[in-house]
Amino acid sequence: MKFLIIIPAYNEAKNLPELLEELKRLYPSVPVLVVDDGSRDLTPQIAREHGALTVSHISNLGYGGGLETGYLYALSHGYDAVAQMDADLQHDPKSLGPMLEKFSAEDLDLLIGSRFISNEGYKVPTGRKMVIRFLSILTWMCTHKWITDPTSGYQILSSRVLKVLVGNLPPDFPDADVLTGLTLSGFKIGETPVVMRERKVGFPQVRGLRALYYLYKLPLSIFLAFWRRGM
Amino acid sequence: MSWQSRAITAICSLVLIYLVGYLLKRRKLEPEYALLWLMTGVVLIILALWENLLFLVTDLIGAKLAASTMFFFALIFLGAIALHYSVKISQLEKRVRRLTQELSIMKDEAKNEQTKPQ
Repeated sequence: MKFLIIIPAYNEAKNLPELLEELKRLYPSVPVLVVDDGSRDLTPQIAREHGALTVSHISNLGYGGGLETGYLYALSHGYDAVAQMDADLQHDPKSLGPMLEKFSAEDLDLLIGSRFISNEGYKVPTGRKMVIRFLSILTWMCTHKWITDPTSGYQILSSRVLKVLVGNLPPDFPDADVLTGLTLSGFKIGETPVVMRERKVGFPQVRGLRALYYLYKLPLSIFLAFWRRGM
Repeated sequence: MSWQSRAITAICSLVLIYLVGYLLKRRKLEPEYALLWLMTGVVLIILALWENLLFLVTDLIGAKLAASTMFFFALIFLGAIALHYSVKISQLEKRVRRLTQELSIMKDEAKNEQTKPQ
């Protein structure tokens, strides 16, 4: 199976060297694509220096926009699946090996790296944990499938899923709503434990007023996916 | 405000909410742009169905008629929607300008590359 690792990045020049070196050491044969979402720092240059492929947006399109560019790249270059992870070093690259094995062995369409199966590593703050649990319940109500971590960005997706997502991926927070849509569309979705690390540099993307918007947008989008009966 | 006026306001608001929901479902509208429309619908329904609240708000804003309160809130929301669009259009104009510039530079670079003497 031909895999590509996609890392959407916005002003992540400080985090990228450590992440890219670790990925190169652990998975030397898997190419890495850094999608620079209009960063103001040296993100694309640093990524290239550390051996990654890069695509740079000329303006900021949001987290979902970055992922979608990565999906388009993977589809146009004939990859069978993509592994996506955040650039902020919270997703431990060591978890990716077992994830790739499980994804191939179980012939999944989407594999989610869940922080709440083994509960190891960085502890998610209580408020955020409550929101995630709320989204798990909403997703379960719409799909009857229990997903422990519907907001995890650490995922592996097959090209079949990518074809459905391109053009339909929310530009801001592709989370539980996408999982609801994909589950209702009949895709085979699995979860596996991953270790989450503490963020060293930068801020979480959902904070302040965006957190309020997130609380409006996610339940609405989950309901819409249910109403559409799929993606 | 007569019950007929309140009923018509509530029905129109419900139709508005359904229409926004339908456009969202068909992906003709993004959730970001639906927020203010949904808020307008919900606030007007609450004011139309909860008479005591409508009178209280009418007193608070110093209006003579309850119907004026409805128009006041409808106008406030429509103003907010117009302002929101103005901001978004300004951002889009900036993006299109940048995109045009970048594309023009790339196109010219490709042309220059082609016409370069071997």
